[in-house]
Amino acid sequence: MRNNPDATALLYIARDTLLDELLELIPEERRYAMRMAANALAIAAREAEIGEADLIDELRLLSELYGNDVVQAAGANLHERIAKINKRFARDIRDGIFDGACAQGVQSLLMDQVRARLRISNPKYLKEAGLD
Amino acid sequence: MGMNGGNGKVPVGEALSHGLGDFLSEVSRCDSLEILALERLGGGAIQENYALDAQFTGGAMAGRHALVLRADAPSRVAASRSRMDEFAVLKVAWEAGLKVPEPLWACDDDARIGRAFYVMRRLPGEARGHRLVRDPSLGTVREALVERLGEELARLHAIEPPHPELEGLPQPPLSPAHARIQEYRSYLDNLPDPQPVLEWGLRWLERKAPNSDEVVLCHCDYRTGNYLVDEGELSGILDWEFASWSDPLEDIAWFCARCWRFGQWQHEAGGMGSREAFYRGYERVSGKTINRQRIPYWEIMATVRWAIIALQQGHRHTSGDEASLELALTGRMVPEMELDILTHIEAVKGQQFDHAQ
Repeated sequence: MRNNPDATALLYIARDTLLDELLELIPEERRYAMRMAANALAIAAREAEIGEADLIDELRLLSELYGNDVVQAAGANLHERIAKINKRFARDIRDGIFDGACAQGVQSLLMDQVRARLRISNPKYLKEAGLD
Repeated sequence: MGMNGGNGKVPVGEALSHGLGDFLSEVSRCDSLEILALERLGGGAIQENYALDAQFTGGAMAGRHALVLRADAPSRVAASRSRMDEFAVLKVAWEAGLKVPEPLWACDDDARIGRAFYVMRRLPGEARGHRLVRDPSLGTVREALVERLGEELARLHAIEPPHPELEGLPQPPLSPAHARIQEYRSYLDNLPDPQPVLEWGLRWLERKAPNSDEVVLCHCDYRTGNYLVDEGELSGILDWEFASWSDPLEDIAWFCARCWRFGQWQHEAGGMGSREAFYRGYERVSGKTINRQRIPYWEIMATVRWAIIALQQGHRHTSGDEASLELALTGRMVPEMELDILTHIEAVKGQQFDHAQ
């Protein structure tokens, strides 16, 4: 069964209510906290909107690096696999495994991961950098 | 503390002011002493700052004084040694003629107020970065301010190891860059999630690590937000808790790194002024030329460091140590630093860093 309005819609309307109706009512020195709360709601809304699509993309990128078999064997579900493979990825980077010829490919893979996370946490920042 | 609400003005318990009163009376040799106000100032999970107003009658300090008491946070008693080191650094900086709050007395006897603390003079001015970079009254004064900040930094960097009063600091590293990389990796190892992008940054920093021409006394948190500006003039450099022996370029790059510009990206020196004004002040006082080729290296180091601090702050929230919206959101800023790290690495690709063999 589908909940309507969904999480995304609820979070956005909560954010708009804070900013459009309540912000002006509170004293100046507390507004920063209110803006932070509104920002947190907006991040959560974007995260809910994207759902698992980002994780699926991330796993696909990691599969390009480690091969599908390794990634599938890393865990029972999406979250487990990503956690496990990212742990190995981080260690391999530290150990210099990706220093050589594939460095450029790895760096653009990392850039894709960062872009995906910024689209949720701060799309404006990505836009200002001309990378969205 | 939350029950007192409002503006971080927290009345301090009897015990604190009692122990403090006795201590101040002894060190100032006054006939009598009245503590007029003792109010918690904002900021700092590692230490607590209190605005302290006291009236001394007789003795060396006769008169009314505006002071700051800086103590370890109650949760950090084990690190009390660091307050004493910080006091030592502040004294050395004061004696070298730097614009810092005058350090007065330190006390590492837990019997006084339950933790180590020191007392310094309170200086007037605004420290908050987002205010300073936008305050319309500062206008063109900012350019002069960053030049002045360059001069002050050069004065600090003239202090070299070994120094008899700074023996409490960790030994000067043979390679400041490698020492930092090791330190940051150990921080990452103490956090729950793997961080491929930060590992990538650290690996790049390891492969490109430059030799250091010199190792000097560094502030290690020299940036907008950690100095006071009063009526358009620099009134004091604060927050000496991270001071250590390091490569002077680390301080210069930290000041200029994108993450400390408070949104004023075009003002590369701390969101306040031009890089050249900052460098000019530094070079005039030091008589040395800043190795500009190595600055991008240390700016990437700075961005990695800030990303790790942001991760740690986010973790303080998620671990349940300290529920805070601000900490939680700081944790979600990490991809911004990661983007800066990757674009910076890409931008300097193929550039010569005269790095170590």
